[in-house]
Amino acid sequence: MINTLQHPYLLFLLLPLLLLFFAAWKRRGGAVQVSSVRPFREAEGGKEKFNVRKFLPLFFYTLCGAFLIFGMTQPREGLEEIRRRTEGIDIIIAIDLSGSMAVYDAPSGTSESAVASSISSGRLKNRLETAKEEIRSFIEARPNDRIGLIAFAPQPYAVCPPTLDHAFLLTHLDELKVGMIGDRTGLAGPVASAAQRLKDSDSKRRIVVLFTDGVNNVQAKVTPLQAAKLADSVGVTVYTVGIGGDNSYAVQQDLFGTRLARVQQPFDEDLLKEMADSAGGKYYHAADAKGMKNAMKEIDKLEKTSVEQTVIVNWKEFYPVITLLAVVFLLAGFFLEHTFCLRLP
Amino acid sequence: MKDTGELLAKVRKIEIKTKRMVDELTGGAYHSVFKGRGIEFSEVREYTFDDDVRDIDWNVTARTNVPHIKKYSEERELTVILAVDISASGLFGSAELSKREKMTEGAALLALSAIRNNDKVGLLLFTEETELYLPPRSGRTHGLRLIRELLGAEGRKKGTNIASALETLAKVLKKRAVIFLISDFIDGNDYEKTLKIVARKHDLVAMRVLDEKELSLPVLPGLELLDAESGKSFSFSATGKNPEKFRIAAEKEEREVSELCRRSKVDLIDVRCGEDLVRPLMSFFRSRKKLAR
Repeated sequence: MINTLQHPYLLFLLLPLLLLFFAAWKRRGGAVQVSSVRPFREAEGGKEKFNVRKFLPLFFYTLCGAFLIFGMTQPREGLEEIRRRTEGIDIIIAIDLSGSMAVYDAPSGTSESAVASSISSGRLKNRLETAKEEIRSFIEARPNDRIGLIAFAPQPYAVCPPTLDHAFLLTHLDELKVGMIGDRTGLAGPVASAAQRLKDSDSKRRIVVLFTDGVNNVQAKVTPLQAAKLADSVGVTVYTVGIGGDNSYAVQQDLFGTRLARVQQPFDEDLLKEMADSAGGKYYHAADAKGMKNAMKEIDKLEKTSVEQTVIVNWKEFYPVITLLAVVFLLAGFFLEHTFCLRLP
Repeated sequence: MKDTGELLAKVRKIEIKTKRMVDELTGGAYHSVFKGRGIEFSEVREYTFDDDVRDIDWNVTARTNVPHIKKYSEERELTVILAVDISASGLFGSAELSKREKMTEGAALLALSAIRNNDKVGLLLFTEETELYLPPRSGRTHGLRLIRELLGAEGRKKGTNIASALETLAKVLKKRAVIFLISDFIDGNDYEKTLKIVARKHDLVAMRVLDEKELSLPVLPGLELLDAESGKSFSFSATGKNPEKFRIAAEKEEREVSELCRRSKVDLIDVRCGEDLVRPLMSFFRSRKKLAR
């Protein structure tokens, strides 16, 4: 419903309207001069009655005026609210799409059969899906930050530059699939590309969150450590999240059907740690979904946003309805004045 | 009313207009109704052979040794006072003439009839107070003056106070007079007592001029009304039984005035704005004549 008046000061016009109403009410219009009103008064029961005939049309006219004034104040409803900090931070989330992201991480100590049943029932998700879920809640928890998305495998691909349009961001996040852009993992590319993007940003705080599960196995011109240092030099903080535990399974399809294969693929924890350290960030290890959640919570806590400001961007205007009502009242008043409330002369 | 020329033209017009009516009225009716009070002594003169021997005044004859007779004459010269209500309520009129104009016409007719009959005519114009008093005089010039005053009269006040007008007359008139009280008798005050007192001393005749529309109104939805005298406004909605109720109330008020006149032994001539003046007057004179006989 209506929650904002764009020009509330126009409501003061109601005051002159009220005065106008009283002036019209007190005003003596034309009247038939008779010798004596006594018999008329007697016919009506001897006392002055409230003049409904005069009041009703006048009331409707005044109502029309009031609605017009109300319409002029531009009453409207903000449909979409964006809470925006005075200084938002820029975040780029870099997510690994290499083949190993399809691996399922089970909490350590879970038997293989239990893992299989959880996978088929959908309780256990693969690394990418888990990461997506956590990223999603992370994005939703930070509505005021400009967040961008970079997917990488051997090469980084900018999915979305830092934006406040999180809905757009989330749809693109959903579309990411394992192996879309290759199987290997290049850690330098996304960091350098994110640093490049954030370099010219006017935000006070600029961070990159790198999600990966693999070892850097692409030999680019820039090493991951160099990329991290580059980021640091332009004031970008890098957080790294290493995904993968000691109880991981890959789903393999062959002639005999689907089966689980234990994966023993360690990631380069030292490199990730070093990268984070050299770029002022922190390294988190997410062995499974729970670990992932903790990592995201930590980052969220570290990058607390400041004062919020509500800006309403999409409005529903009510003046057409109100003006229509005013016209209806006008017509009603006119109709009454000339029919049921007809007064002579 | 403002322009003298216009006013005079009106006076002449009303004189001509009423002339025919005056002729009708004075053809016996008027004269015989208002008789002088008995006879009065006029002279003593010598007896001639034409005289009736019964008229011989023996006292004078004995003193002078010449037969003398005493001569009486009928006391004819009447004083007629026209008390005309010029309150604002007279401005109402749905017919050709407003009540006020009808009253003026009636007064003019009576004035000219009286003048024709060599009666003295005086005029009193009143509202809440006495607006004008012209002492009774005879003569055509005076008659026309009365008419002029009637036509040009504009009251300082708007209301009606019949009692105060009658009191003024009672104070001013020493001799018995015929008073025509011409009004619409729309008066919120009680004037019964004064009416009775004045009626006892003088020959008081009430002439009530009303408009048909005051008694029954056409069907209208809502009516904004303004009291001519008090200036109060009132909105009347003529829905349902209200018009009927109004008619009853108006008739009741009319009847009350009639009854008041009967109680006070005042003759009432009812005149309607849209109707002829002569007929009610003639019927009044006729009934008076019957009574006199």
